[in-house]
Amino acid sequence: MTRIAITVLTFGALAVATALGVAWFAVSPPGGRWEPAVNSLALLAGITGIFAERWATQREQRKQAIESIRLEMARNRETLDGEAFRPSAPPGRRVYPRLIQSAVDSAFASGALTPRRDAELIDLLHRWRSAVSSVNRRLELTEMLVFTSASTESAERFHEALHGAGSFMRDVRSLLDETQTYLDSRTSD
Amino acid sequence: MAASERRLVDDLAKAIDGADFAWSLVLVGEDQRDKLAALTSDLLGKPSATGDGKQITSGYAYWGIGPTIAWAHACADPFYLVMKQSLDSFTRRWNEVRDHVGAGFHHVSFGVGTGHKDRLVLSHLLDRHPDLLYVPVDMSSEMLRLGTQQATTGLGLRGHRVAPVQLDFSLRDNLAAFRDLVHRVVGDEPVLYSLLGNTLANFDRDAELLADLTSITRPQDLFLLEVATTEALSEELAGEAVEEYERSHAYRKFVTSALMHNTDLTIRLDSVRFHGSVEGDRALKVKVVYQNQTGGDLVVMLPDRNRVPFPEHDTIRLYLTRKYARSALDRVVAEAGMRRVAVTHSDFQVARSAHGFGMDLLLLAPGGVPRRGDDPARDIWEN
Repeated sequence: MTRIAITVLTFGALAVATALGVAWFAVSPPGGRWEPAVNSLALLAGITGIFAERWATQREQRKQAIESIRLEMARNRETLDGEAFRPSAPPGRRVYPRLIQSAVDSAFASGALTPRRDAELIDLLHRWRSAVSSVNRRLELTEMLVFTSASTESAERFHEALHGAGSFMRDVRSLLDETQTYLDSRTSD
Repeated sequence: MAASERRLVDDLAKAIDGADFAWSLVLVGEDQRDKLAALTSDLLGKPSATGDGKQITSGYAYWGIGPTIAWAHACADPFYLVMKQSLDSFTRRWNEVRDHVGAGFHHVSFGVGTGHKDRLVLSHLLDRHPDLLYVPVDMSSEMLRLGTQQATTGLGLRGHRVAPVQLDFSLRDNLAAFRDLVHRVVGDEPVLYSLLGNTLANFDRDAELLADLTSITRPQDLFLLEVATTEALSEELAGEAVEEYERSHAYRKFVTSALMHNTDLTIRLDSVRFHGSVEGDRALKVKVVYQNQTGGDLVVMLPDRNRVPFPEHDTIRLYLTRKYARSALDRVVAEAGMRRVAVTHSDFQVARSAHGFGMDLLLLAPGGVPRRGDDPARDIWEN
């Protein structure tokens, strides 16, 4: 409420001052119009400057958020291509590295992405966030069951299921491909 | 790989991709003299009136340019029902199973055929993996050339990403060598293997062949299998299966073409005989033989100029095919160490055909059928 009152007061004062400046310019004799002209232009620059600064800040925030997400995606790609997630890795008990999503969370929390401009990206990131949570939860279950099982066969079965054709990991990789391709295509924005 | 070797491969890839001429890089896996010796040996069998002596085994039926052209003509014959229906309905059946194939797959096609089906498969896989490797495998270099061109022209698949392999994939040792080759080239990336067009049915030891072929798959791979099927098994249906093949003139020309090109026999198409039978509880079996019905004994000259007697009523088995009982398919698949991921069926749309003949397309994955609740690994990781 206070914020709205301050905004109304600020922009109201600026609007009134601009109107007075224009009126002053109109009623001034031809030789005395320099002062109201400069005054009116300064007020106009002040008003547009507020919006320009806001726009530039928002743009910078968005750029930083997208760059952070891009780096996070590259990091996740490294993780998925790493030794632990290779089908050729020897099956056995291991603690798997987790996928990360802090940049995505931060982008959502900061409001750097706007539904008007980034609807597609926001949708992709929501799906990605859900997939990452699911993978990490499944990895926890896998580790728990493999480490509490006495047989090595259990680890082999999990290895086979993790890399199988119907594995959830395939969808995760596809979604990562899709997100990275989208981010690359928006580099010029 | 040394820098000079890498440069040679790069230069070769650029030369193939950049030329207007239709180059194809074929890997030949076997000494073709051995194949000719094997064909000759198969034609030296003892006399038999039922096609159990002399024979032309699967693979040789397509070996050489003559049989290849005859095959292409047979495929265009509307009376060759199995092939026609298989080609006509493949698009729909493939569309129904293809979503189970994820991104990043390479494609290995056993028995390339006319290339129409591989084209559809490649088109889908290419959308998800533009750098895929396509490896058609066939015993006949002529079939490879014919099928590969049809499969790849206009798809945007670069020439050096197509690696046809001339190899008899029915031999276990050949498959072991082929498996090593494929795995070295693709690394850990998944491969979609395919055996389409009821090719499996052409082999005497079909179950063993399927087990050998699927044994080269890894957990991340898939196997696409197409077979002709029947809803029921009976001697009467075996007779109807025979009729299906008998009515195609082009098919008779195709099955006799290997004989014509590898012996000095004067071929009479009315000497082609079809024998139908029930093969246990798993399939209807059709044996196509060439019988000496000239009224006298003949002597046939083989490719090595050896002469072999071909007495009256003696036969040469030209072709073997089957229609698998749909109820037996799961068992056939399980015996090969695979499980179904998806399956689609297409009935033959012929007015007088009411006996449930059709084609099934099965997408298979390595491993047995999981029992629900019995395998937490699959419960956790499968979609």
